[in-house]
Amino acid sequence: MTTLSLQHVTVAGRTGDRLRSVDLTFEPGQTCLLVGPNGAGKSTLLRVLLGLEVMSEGSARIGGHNVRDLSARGRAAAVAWLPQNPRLEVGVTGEELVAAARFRFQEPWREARAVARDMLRARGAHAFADRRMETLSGGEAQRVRFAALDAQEASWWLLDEPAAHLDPSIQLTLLEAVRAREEQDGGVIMVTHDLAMVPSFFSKQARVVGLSGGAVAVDEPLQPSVSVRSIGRLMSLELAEITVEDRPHWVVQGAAP
Amino acid sequence: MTRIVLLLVGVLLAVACAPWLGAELVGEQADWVWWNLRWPRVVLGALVGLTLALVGASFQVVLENPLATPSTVGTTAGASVGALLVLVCFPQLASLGAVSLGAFAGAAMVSFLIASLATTRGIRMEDLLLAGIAVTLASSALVMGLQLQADANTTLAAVRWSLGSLATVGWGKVYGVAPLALLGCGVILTQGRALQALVGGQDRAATQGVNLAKVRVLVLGMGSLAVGACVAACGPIAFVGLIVPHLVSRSIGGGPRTLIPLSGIAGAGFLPLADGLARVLLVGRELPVGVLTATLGAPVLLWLLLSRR
Repeated sequence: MTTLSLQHVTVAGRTGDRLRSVDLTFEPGQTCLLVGPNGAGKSTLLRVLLGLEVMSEGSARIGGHNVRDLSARGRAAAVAWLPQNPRLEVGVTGEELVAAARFRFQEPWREARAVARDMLRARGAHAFADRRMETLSGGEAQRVRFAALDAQEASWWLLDEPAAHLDPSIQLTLLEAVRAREEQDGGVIMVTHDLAMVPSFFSKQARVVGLSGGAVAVDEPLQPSVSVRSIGRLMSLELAEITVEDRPHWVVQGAAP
Repeated sequence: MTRIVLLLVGVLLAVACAPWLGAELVGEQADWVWWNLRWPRVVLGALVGLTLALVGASFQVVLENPLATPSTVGTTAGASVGALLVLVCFPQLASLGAVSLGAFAGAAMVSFLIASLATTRGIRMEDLLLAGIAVTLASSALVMGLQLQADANTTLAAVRWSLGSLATVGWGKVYGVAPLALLGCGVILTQGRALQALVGGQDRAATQGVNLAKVRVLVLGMGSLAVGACVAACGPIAFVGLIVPHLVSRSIGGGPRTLIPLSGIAGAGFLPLADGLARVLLVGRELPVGVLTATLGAPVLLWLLLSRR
């Protein structure tokens, strides 16, 4: 397991800094929800941890090593990524896509495909193994991509709104996958806008980090009755907590006064 | 699977039939023509077709653009300038060998430029394509300027070279092209897994452990060198690197890992066959194969684009 950390990270953008002097440490196996308004720097933060952004200041570290000094394969062992609106992988079958995600293992292709088949079966997505990605629905394709995350066998999952634009039942399936990951002590950092699901979803103690204008505005253990106020303020929303069958939920009542 | 077998059979048939196309060989020269004109030409065609199609298919993956080919990144244009420079500046040397060397040097310089651009931090693949277009435009201006300076004979020689032809006497050109072409194709084939990972985009491939800089240098650099060797020997042969991969992906499909080698195989059958046709289409004289592929290629490409979905 690996600790991820950002030290004084600043990322310059065209119209001001996209991240401003961010200091964060993610302990192994932690579950972290990353929230904030559009353009707050959530995706950029994930990309910094993945070594995809050029920082104007500070450093990102994976298990004590600077992200920049690690080899691509070394990074792939620590962090796996599901981007926001991933590009449709035209031409390959589900199985080929999952097998391709095992690039870092340098194993024979036949072996990678066998593992891919197992991973798809474990996700209940074996029906998509021989189908081309472009023939799958959005939800089906996203389930194959989750199997690809499994196949990479990284310590951390960095998920960027993995359930956006999908129907509620598929959203639930995907979020179950994240929850299962949490129960196996795999680390997850997930960007989400789905505030209704935030308070009740995770079984163990999660952490919530809120970004605003590229800086960390909220960083606390998720306690629904407390976080409802800090997250509400962060998102400029009037959030209220309600309880249904002893489980807390958040509802948006309107814009903050 | 059936389609792959069909493709293989088709390519073998095309290569086997290609030397029979053309006038019937009779008399005591027949044997010589058969072994020193027909067969080397078919083998050269297969080699060049393989290289152009395989490199084209891999460029389309690395540059993330369905229109990318060695011609779009400027390799072919660089070769043209090199060839013409030799023809104009050293007319006394203007044997085929010297022109080929010049073409190769031009292609190699552009390859080097592309490879170093490709590893620049933060470069986008569109930028590379735009750079290629700039190189191509500048080169064609240079070519025209050089042609104005040159005498009629040199200009004619340059025009002939620029039409693209597989005409060859003996096995010299085959030996000249084979090492670099096969090396380039071989190196690209070793990158199959990395290219496969690129279907999800460059960033995602990088996070899955693909060393993007290495893949770009190997595929773009070695691919350009391989194509440079082909262009040096035969002149630019248009559209093969564009159309063959598109036809293969349309009819067989699959990820880059299978698409790239299959495109190469299809190209190895396509070019000798096209060349055979170019030899027999006009009675009494032959068409340079580059003219045929370009005339046929443009409508085929349009049809492909219009019939999409």
